[in-house]
Amino acid sequence: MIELIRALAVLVEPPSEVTQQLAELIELPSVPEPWEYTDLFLGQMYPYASVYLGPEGMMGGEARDRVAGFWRALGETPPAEPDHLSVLLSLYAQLSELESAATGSQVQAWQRARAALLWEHLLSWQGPWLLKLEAVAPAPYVVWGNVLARTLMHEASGLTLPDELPLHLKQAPPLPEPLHNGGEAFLEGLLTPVRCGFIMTRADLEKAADELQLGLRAGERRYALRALIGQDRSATLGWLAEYARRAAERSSDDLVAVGPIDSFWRQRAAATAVCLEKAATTV
Amino acid sequence: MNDLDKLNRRVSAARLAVEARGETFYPGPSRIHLASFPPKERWDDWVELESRAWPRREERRYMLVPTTCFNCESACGLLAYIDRDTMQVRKFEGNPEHPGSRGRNCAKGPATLNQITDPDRILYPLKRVGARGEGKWKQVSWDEALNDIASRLRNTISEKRHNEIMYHVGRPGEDGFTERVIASWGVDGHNSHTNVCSAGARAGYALWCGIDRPSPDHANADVILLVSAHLETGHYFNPHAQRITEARRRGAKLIVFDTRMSNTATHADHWLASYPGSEAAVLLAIANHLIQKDLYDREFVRRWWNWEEYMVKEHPNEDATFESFETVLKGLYAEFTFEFAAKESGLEAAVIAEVAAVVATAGTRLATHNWRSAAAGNEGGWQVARTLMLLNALTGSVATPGGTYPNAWNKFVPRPIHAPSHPQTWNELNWPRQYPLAMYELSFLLPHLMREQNGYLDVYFTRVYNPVWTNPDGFSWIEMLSDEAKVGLYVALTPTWNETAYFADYVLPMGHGSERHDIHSYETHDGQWLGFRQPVMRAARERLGEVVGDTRHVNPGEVWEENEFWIDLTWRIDPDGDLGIRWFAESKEQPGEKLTVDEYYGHIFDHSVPGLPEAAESEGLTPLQYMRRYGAFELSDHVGPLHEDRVADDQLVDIGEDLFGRVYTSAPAPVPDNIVPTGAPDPDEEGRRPAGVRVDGIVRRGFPTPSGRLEFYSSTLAQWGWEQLALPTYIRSHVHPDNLDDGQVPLISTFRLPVQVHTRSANAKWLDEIAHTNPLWIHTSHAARLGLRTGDLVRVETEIGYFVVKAWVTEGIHPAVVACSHHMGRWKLHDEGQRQLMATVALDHEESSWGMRRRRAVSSYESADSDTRRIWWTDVGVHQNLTFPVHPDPVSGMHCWHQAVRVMAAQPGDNYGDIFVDTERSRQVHAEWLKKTHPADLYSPDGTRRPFWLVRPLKPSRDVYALPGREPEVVPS
Repeated sequence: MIELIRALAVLVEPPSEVTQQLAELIELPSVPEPWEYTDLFLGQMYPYASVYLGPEGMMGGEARDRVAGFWRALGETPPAEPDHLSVLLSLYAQLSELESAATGSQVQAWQRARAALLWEHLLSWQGPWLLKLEAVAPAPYVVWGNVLARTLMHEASGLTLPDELPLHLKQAPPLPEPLHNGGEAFLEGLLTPVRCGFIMTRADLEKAADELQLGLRAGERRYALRALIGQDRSATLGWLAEYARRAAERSSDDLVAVGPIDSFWRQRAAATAVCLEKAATTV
Repeated sequence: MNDLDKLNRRVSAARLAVEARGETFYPGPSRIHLASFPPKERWDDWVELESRAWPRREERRYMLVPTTCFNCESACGLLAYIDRDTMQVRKFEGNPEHPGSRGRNCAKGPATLNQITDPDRILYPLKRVGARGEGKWKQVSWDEALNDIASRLRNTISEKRHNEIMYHVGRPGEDGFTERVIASWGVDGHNSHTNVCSAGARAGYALWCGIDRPSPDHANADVILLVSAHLETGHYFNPHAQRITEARRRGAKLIVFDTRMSNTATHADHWLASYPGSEAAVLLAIANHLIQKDLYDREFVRRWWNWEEYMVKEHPNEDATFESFETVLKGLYAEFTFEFAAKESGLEAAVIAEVAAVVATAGTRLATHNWRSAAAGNEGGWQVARTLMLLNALTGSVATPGGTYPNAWNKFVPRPIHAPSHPQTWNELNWPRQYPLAMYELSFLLPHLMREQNGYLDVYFTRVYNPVWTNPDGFSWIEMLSDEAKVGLYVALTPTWNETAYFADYVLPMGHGSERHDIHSYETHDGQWLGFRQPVMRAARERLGEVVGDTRHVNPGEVWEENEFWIDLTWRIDPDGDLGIRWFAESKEQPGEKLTVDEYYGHIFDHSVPGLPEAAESEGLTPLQYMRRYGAFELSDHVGPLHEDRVADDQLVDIGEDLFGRVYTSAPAPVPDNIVPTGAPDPDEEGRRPAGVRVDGIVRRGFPTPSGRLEFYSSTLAQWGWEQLALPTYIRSHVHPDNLDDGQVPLISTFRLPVQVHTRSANAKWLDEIAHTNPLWIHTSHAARLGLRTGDLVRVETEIGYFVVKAWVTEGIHPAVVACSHHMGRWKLHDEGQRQLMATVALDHEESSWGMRRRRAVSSYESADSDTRRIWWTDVGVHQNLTFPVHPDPVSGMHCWHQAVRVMAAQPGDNYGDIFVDTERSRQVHAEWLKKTHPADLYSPDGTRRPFWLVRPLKPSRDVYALPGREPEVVPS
């Protein structure tokens, strides 16, 4: 799957002169337009592992350093954005290639590295991410996400993967208490996937505002969410609780669902739902 | 087969098919590789959307032609985007095929577009019609100019007045072409700008290893120590900065010496804002720490230092064992404690100790760099480079991954088509006897030397050089250039007006970076590459099948390139060959015909660049076509420690060996591919050439020094009267507090502004808008004492005059120091000149008194470029260098730029930009510095003017090294 994975990696980059050819080769329904790319990857589904695995829900920080450390462990200088999905997929393809070309004990060594990359840095967040992407992406990227999900599962099926959660998920900090420190940390936690167990995009906030008949303030997601809660705390938290509940109880034939990682995300979402339900009814 | 397999196979098949055509399938996600560049196979027809048509999607088709930036010496690769419809260059971006710059550029590269479209540039040959400097010109044909200049040169050469011809170059931007032109005339008239630039650092490095530049392997270093501002400016700063950045991302530590809070200092892990001139003291304290704590690489020191020679010559009563040397070494540097360095530098001892501890962790991955900065500012500045290199020599980080290489190993200079012999003359206007060890010509002393030697130049060329503005003591230059009894004919070769060209007899328009040919290779990292600068319009038209015979046909106006100019001029000097000069300008393929640039470079690429013909053939190209297509060729991506190479047995014939293992051979020297300049150690008394040095029983290549080793002890310095300076040591600068009078402070004038380069970039509007003035940096405490605020006028008094500038009050400068960048203060006397960065001034002159007053500031104006109507700045800074006397370092010959000045609030009647200078006083200062020298007449150990082994541009034949009236003696090695 090396070349398919490379092609999928290039398609997480802004459309360029090769996009058309790759789109045709992997049978996307249309060639992604620059605006589609911008809307999806710059506005909704940031393709960085650190956003989904980091304790702040932002790019960079220790989650990115962890991926950089993986590069260093391989003896390589990490690129500027080692946790970008394009980089992760390209590295995975490169490790597959090295494994194919290796002999003797080197084969196992490269395979272990490949399995670690897949488990620690791809499968650890791709499940909820691809599921969300399917819901918000324009048509060509929906198909792209579908091919990527099936490719990742195909790769996972060919490797011996750990039974236990990646350490960073085991140690992932929980959602802060709603009333702690004025609730600001709790609010930020709702936008931090690894804490709350779900991904809340700008489109979701628009939907919440629409359904709750509230005004959506223009600004960053945290600002918009704070404004929604300020307008109707109980209704907004209730809407969020339902959102979390759906994330926890999503169907079992999800795109990328792998044992303990899948359980982790579901449990986090379920815990968040309980917390939100309680907070919604607390004055 | 499942559908994923099917998709994978389809992508694989497509990739194979594309790559089989020699094309690029994946341009590369920008986060993994470099930014996505246009794949090279699409450089003939590249489509981009027209930015000015936005939001309409209007396609433009481009031809992408590589060339090399000429806005500093880094020689970064550029890609010219030539619009196929209009055949005009629309923009310059980075060339991803260039091994040094790797597709990246600083602001100066893309600004080449400003330069070639500059409405104020010189487009036609001009001849003076009034008095020199009067500003009256007439356009002449190239034929008229060339015939006039050539006939004058012919007479001068025919009458054996070779020393009356001088070519004075700023930044060469090429490897030896013009030097060989001058040599072919038999003239020792090559004069460079080196002594206002890098002579100090060169001396420090050359005395260690026979090679006068460092080549730090920043990318692989664990600790990077810069006595420079290499993240923002300087030689090779873009190639270096990107590799320093990579190393820092990997966790490498960055140590920066800088008195100012420069952009480089702000990125440092350890910033040492030491007092100017104290750098060597701090470096020696670090060295002492390594020595006293036994933290140095003992094996490297034992194998590669010339410690044995030192012990025998300087400690004859002690055992010449390594253990004895180590004991002596501990004593030699014991005085350089952290406390001593703290007292000299003003830094805290604990800070120096912390930095020393960091250096000690580097092992063999210590990359260090000094080029100008402290080495160019201070008397004895050459010891800054020498003490910096001491750290590499102690840690064994010489030519190691992450260490520092001698530059000649990371630079490749190919053999040319014609190689003239060494001139049979010595020109004392360039190489006066007072400075036998100078690292190159005492160029900035020319007005003084002309006066003292009653010199006369019949033909004087400057090429992309502006001594009136760049050098210290510019009014003395004006006095010299205005005097036709001193300079018979002055020819300025320049793309753009400059302060010196106003005093020329001919101003000849030369091309910018994208309008000329050159080859060059620089030590940007541990590798070797050759870059090719080319007139991009010529290459573009040739791609379209046109035959371009002369670059003037594709350049704007009658702008020429220098290679064709020099070939033509040489031909006209000796049209029938009777002077024995014309052969240099003659074709080999068609004897009797004039050499073309295609043949010149084609010959080099065919015969003198290993690997290039094969690489070209693999793409179905000739080597010249390959270079025209890609602009660069990588000879090696890793060179390694050449000094460790074993000398082949067939090179060891009838060998002789001195006491310290220097091995000489009678075997003929192999012809090297690479003719990069290095030291050329003397043969032994039997006339055998040095072949290597014996290390632990094996003869290895070693270093091009007299001993073949790294010269901790310089026998050259010792023999030429500088015994007390023969080891790396600390010389108190002329601006050391002990040497200042009451009320004086040091003025640092050497620092660059990141987007400007000397006289080179004034005609780049984008750069001018970013940086156009040079206020005086003055510390808040200092300003408070003087009652100054930012923007107030300040008078700065030097030894020979004063200038009036605006204050910039800042915490970012040492409290006891002021600083002013030398990039600004451009001026013009008349209408000619750049209107974007040159103020119009008036000169007042009486006897030796000179004054300058500003008549008009810069303002917006109408031109073919509508942007000139949008010029919003008026202040273009002050030309401080005019007020600096010459300060030639007695050893290196470097002009020691730092000034001892008095700073005060402006006096009644002072106006911004006012300058006053007394050139008689500047002559007195010169005389004072002259007393510090050790002239060859008194100190030469062998009757020569200069050690023959030292590098010297345009080296004359060995016979003329003899001092007049003395026969050279052989000095035992």
